[in-house]
Amino acid sequence: MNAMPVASLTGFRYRYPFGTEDALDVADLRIDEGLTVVRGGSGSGKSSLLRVFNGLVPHFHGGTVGGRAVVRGHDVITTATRVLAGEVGFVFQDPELQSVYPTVERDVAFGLENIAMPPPAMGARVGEALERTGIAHLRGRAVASLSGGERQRLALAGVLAMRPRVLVLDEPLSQLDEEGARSVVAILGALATNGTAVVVAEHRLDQLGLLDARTLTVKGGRIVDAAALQLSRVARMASPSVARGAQSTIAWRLSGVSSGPTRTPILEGIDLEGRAGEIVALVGPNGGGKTTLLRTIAGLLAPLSGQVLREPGRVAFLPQNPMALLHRATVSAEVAWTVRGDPPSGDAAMLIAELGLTHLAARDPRDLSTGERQRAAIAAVLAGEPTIAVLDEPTRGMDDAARDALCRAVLRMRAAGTSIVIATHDKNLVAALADRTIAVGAGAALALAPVAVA
Amino acid sequence: MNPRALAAWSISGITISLASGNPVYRVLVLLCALNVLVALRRPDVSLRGMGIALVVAALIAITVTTLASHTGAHAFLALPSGIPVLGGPLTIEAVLFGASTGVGIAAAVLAAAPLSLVLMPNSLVDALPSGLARTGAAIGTALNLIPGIARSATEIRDAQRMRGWRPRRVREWPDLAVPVVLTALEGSITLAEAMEARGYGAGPRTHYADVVWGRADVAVCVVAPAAAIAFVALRVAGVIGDWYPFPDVSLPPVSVAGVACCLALAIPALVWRR
Amino acid sequence: MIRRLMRVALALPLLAVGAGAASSVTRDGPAAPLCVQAASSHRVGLVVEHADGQVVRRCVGFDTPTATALSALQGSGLEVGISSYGGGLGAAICQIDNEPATYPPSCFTGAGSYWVLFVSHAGGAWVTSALGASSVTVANGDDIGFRFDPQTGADPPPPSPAGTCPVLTPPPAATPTPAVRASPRPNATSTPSAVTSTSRPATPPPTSRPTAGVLGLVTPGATRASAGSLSPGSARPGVNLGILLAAIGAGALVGLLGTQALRRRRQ
Repeated sequence: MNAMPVASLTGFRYRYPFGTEDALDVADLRIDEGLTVVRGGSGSGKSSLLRVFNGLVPHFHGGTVGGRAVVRGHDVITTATRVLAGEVGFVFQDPELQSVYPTVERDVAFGLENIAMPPPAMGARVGEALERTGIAHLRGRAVASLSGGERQRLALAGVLAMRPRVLVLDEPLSQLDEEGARSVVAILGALATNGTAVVVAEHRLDQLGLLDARTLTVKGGRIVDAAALQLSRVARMASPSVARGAQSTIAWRLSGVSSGPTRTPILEGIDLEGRAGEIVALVGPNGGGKTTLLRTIAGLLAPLSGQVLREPGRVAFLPQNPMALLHRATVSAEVAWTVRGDPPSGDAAMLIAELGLTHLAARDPRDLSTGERQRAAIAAVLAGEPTIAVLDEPTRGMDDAARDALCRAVLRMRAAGTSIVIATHDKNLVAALADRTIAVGAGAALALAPVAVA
Repeated sequence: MNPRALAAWSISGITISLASGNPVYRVLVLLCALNVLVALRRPDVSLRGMGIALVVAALIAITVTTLASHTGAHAFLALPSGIPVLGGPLTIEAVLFGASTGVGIAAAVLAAAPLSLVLMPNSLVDALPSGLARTGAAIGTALNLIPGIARSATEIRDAQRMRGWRPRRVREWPDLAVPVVLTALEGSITLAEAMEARGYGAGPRTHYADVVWGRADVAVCVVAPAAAIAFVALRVAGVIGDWYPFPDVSLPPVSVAGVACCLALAIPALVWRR
Repeated sequence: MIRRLMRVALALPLLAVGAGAASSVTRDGPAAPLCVQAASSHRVGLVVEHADGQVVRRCVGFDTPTATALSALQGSGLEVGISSYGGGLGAAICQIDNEPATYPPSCFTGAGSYWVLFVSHAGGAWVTSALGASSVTVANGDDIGFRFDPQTGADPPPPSPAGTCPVLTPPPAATPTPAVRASPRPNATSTPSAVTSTSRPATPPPTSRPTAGVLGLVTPGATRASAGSLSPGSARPGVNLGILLAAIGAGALVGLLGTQALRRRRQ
């Protein structure tokens, strides 16, 4: 182990412009080679901490900064991001918002162009980066044709082409399916053992739990403990079960349905039904038809053939990025708008209370922290008593508190008799909530036997 | 397919189709451009919409010309002269002149179309001169955002519809517009952050030369502008004439050299392969 | 279906071009009587055919290398009435030699008769002009013709211009005829001068054969006078070749389009 740390922060304080309090207050932190996992809820300062390593804090985000931060011998506060980009690679959460050029090869070379590398030398670097991330076979492809996991590996390749000694990743797995996540994790493990300092912030820690990692927990802008890694698990929630089986009514049914976003069907011959007070989980790879099936059930997509029957009543649809929907002045206004057509009841207020948002109900959603906004969005969309509730990847990017809130809201709906369908690749969520699991892929939907919690 | 060569070809095609009012040359340029489009367009592109739009534009040109200009020897209909602007005889010569104008518009548009239908959208920025490379990268990433924004707009619209939103009154449009705009802004800020994290910023910059100049590219880049320059020179010298069907219909004057210049524009369809 | 429409739409211009090429205007009339000589170095023959068939011929001379048809007409001494159209279309001929007696300010009565301009370059056949008389330029040896076209029935060109401007025979004195050149120094536009006489169609008096010495005064275009009438049906070679090439080119492009469409479809 080197005496000289790869990165160190000493008495480092940072406040965002217009911030009312410090976002970061780190007394003493050392980062060495190998894998470091950063944990923390939304709004804890985790993301801000990561951005110190390559200078985005303070250079891109502005604000006031104090103390000292040194990465690979460079003082972050006085060094330009352009210089730090050669030493520190950063991978972001959204695979689709990191690529610059339309083809794989060009995009990987983007960073090399920025540091004014002579073009003849670029080819070798590009090839090397593609090899290290295992996507050499995608070299001539168009970026838009890649899957999420492939795009995230492309982002990695673009960063590795600069041969950084430090690699920082901000929730890189949250939008990937199982296969994509596994491929990225494998690369990270290889890099960590080869001498790169890898710093990862990730909620889906079960994926990383197999690796030898040092853990940091960030809370309120401070490093609170460096405990050993612990798997977080969502216990199977006990709840009174609504009468199920033959007695409860059918809420929706698909008969011989073929469906797809365009005229060619992705799913064919689907026969499925869902009952009131039941939670059905759809699992499967991205692009395999999960979203199509979900939208067909919700009524957003008309089937190309076959019949879809739905119990009359409201359908609640929670999209992948529900926070984007919030634009009214207060949280209560959003909730009230959703239930405006329903007979008045105290339901909406109860949901807000259950999600711990009572004290925030009169606040502007955009002023809330990420976790609070996620909960507010859940409340806004799932309020009232919809007949059918359809959720598309609801735990994407959620921390533990928000995920708990979601489970509570879903169980509440089940108790009220709503028929719930959730498309997810979060195995813990499936284990905690699902009454039935259906695997969707290769044009068909298969019922799965209940999976024991791993 | 080198973007700069294609850009040179497009400019040549537009120049020729607008340099002379003679419909024979315009039709030839139109056929060449159509060949290039059909042969080289991206697989996901359909020419249907553009075709319909051009037909509509030509019909509008014909209608406007016929109704507004009342010169010509062969009238087929006469509107009462009392009507301002429209009153008077409607002549076949005006119809033909309008048709010639419409063909000219269509030829120019089809000559420009390959820049967006053949190249990848961001490759267009490769056609910029190297001094504008940084601007080109910025524009290219902005273009990158558009499909993502479109997707999120669809999702937002669906989600709001499920909450009971209907696009009935203008008052209701913020329920769609505000989330979409905010999502787009957030996306662009995220992308800007990612670009800066990869070193994008002030300072010298090089260009990854994966777009090389093959022999075919050089051929296109030399032949097409040469044909355009020759055409303009012939036009100025009077060898290539304009065509006015007034007052009586007559055959347009066609010069062999002009035809050769126009046929030279078919070169991309012959030397390039998708 | 859009491909079918495209193929039909592309065939239309081909048909139009072909039809145009087929109906070429090459006809010839009997050799016409002479006009009086003009002694300028640049001359064009002017033939005016009235509605009743009466033909007026002039030989118009000018000193500049080229002149517009309008100025040649105006220099012929015939009475001319014109109306100016804007936008580069130039002037339209409304009245020649007092026909028609009256005309509206816009010159054309729509469905009525009007003066049609024909041009014959260097002894070729008559060709209708696409441009107006003020935009058409003629040089020595060309001919211009006007026919008052009633717009019913066929549209034949005026009688042949052959012989309108006969070969010059130099006077015994070496000096050219200064009396004809009474006009002041020519300016940028031509100053045509002419000697006029009208005549009815009649058997032409024999023309004198050109000798080598005379040819020095007149440009080679005059050789046509000795040859008599032109061979019928010989249209101006440049025009037809251009149209032919354009038609072949268009056909080749359409064929190429078909093969490309098939190739892409199979991909």
